[in-house]
Amino acid sequence: MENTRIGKFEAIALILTVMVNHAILNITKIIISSTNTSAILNTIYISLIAILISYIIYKLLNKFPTFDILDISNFLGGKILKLIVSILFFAYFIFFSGSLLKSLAYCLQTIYYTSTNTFFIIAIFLIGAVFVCNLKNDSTFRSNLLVIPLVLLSIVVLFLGNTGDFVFENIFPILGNGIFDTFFMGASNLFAFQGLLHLLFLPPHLKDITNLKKITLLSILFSALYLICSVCIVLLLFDTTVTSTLLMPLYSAARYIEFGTFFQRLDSVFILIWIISFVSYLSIIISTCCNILRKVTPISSTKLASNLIAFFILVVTFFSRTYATSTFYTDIVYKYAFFSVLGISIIVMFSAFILKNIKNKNSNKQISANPLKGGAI
Amino acid sequence: MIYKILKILLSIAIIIVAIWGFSDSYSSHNIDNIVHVVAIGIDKCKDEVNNMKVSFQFVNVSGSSDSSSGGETSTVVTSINTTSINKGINLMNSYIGKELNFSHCKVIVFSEEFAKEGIKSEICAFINNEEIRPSTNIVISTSEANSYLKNSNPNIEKLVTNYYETFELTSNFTGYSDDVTIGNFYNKLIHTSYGNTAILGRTFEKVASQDQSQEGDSSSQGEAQGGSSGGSGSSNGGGSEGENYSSENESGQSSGGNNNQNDSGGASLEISGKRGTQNVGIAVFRDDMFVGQLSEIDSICHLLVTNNVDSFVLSIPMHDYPDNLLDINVSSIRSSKVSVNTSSENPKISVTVYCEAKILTIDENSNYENSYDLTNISGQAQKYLKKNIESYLNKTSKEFKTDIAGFSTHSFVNFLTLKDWENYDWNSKYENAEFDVTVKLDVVSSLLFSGNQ
Repeated sequence: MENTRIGKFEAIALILTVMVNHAILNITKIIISSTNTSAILNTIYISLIAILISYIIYKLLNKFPTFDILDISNFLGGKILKLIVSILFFAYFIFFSGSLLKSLAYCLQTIYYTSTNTFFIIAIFLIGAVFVCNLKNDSTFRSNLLVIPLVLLSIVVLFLGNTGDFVFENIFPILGNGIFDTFFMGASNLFAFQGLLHLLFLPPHLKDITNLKKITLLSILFSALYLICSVCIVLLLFDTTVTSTLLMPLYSAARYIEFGTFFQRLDSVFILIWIISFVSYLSIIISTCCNILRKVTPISSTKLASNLIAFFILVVTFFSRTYATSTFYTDIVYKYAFFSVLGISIIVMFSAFILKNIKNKNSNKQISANPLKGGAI
Repeated sequence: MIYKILKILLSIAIIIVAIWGFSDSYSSHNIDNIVHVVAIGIDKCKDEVNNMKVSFQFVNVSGSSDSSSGGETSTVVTSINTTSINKGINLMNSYIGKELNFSHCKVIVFSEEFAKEGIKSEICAFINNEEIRPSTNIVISTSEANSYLKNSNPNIEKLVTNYYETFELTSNFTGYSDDVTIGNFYNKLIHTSYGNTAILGRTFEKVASQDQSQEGDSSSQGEAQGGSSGGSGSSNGGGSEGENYSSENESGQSSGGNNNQNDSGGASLEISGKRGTQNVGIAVFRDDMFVGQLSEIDSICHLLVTNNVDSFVLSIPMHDYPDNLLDINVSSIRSSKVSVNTSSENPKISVTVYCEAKILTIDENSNYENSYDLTNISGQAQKYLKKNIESYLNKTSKEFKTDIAGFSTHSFVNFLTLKDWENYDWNSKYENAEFDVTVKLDVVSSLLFSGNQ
């Protein structure tokens, strides 16, 4: 990824992929379980917060063109802070992608591969992701750009296919469990926007850095639309009590789609698209982690780094012995970890921004004090 | 060179491991190792140990090749006494020697006797099985479920699964029964304020058949006077040779049954034919327990209020000629409008249905080009339909005490939070609900002829 330069659409697809895969697995269930009938209101609310945060991130990143969060932490606290931030992001990406992979493997085992050990399912995903990463530099982003329109189309088909079964009254009572749960406790559902963290690694890889604003806002806007659409499908189709017990709510929704007696069991097509999408997601995680590894370790080979990261993800999948454990990681621990990492990143960027301003002021003072030496600074 | 060889060896190893890893799943789904169940029946078992008798209906594959020249595929029904659904499936796996696969299961039939004691655990067992589709129909049989399955021989279709698939279509254009699927049934079962419904199925008495040949089969067709849910509509020939069935609708005798059969126009649902089952009416549930039946006219009203019917035939009594019934084909032209007022102690429910009708009956007195006559018929049809909808709604609230039309969802809009709604206690208040029904029905014309003068 280090030498890779990506365009506007590839960058938007990258941010979308991260959010989309989380939404397919369990984010709709988490939002509806925590807010009940006010889930749509809550999703709109967290989408607005996400857009606001993404704008703040853009403003802070814009002060350090071509710097990612690791370069900014290096600027602020030198190699030690860079190492700490790198470990934080590395552990975060590896641990939660591994947990999500384990959850997906459990789901696939339940649905299709009832007699297959989850290890084999996980291995197939990782081999696919490593294979994509080891191709040419930008293969991850190009393949992702091909996959994401299919995923977006699938959610539109899912929405339209289920329209006949929707109970529109399910959005009432509009405030669900109450104002506190919808707007205060419900703000924690912001963690659905995982793409916000990936924005922090984008600037060095953009072909044209001036597109950063467009990429930031558009990717979060599309993510918000996707999330609202997913929540609508599940909320309008199932009772909220049912939703909290579903394995994969969007898969369950896909099972309801039948276009006459000829086009039945379309859920298999959706599963296929989502599997490809998850491989794409894993390849993005591996690419990002490769980038982190290369910045803080002497490892320069992409193949070595990607194999190593895939191995780490595989190890993480062994942590969850049951589906309950993996959902505990992906539903609860993930939420707190996200806010910690996002909070630390914003603090680092904001501190670096202040430091830069102070440095600029000092240099301006020096220039005004010694105008002849100013050019040398 | 060594690197390349290692790479090839590694790739081969990965392929071998992947084949080994996924072979178990492939083997278990192999067509040779599974047997497809097309319908399941559950009856009460009087056994001391077991509490249910589970029947599985399979398509006889060897029979299908014999009858490929034109006859229908025969089916096999096998039963087992058990304590739970999953244990029953496992026992049947052992008995058959293959794994039962439910991905083609179209119908789950419960006997009325069994359903009266509650079917929640059975529904949960089925919905939790990933092979069973949410679109699988739920039927409550007034007789034994096992008998219902044995008598479900398709009349016209070759495959029994094709016959089961017609349930959805026929409910749309006859209105005599609802297309209730396990997915919707489960959703309503979990929701505490909903009542639930299922398709009501009956089996006929077997009678001596005089027409054993194919020609004879055709002579027995078309005796259905009220309606039949079987896709083929009226009972038709083509069943197994030498067997014939006939029935008289018994809905008037049952709890909440058809008390106004003569009004309904479905006065005598006498059917005779090769298939020994019919689905007319709706089974009503409170929570997970069967509490009564809706007659065919109640079914029409239910489907009209819940927007699940496209068209249906009504026979309306005319004031001018009270002995005559006028047949009209009614189409729903707009979704019904429901509003629920919860500001008073008891909920006030307003229902407006929008229909358009065409006259089917023509006689020497008719002149359907006269707009005065059409307006007059519209008025009488509106009155008739309003009376029946009110009767149906009162039956659900006063007699069954269960909100099967889902009015509770329309009341959600009156509350800001779920706690407010729960405090209102819809379930106890629904039995005192007041209904205000408006029928907007316009009789627009006759069909090809406007009269017989």
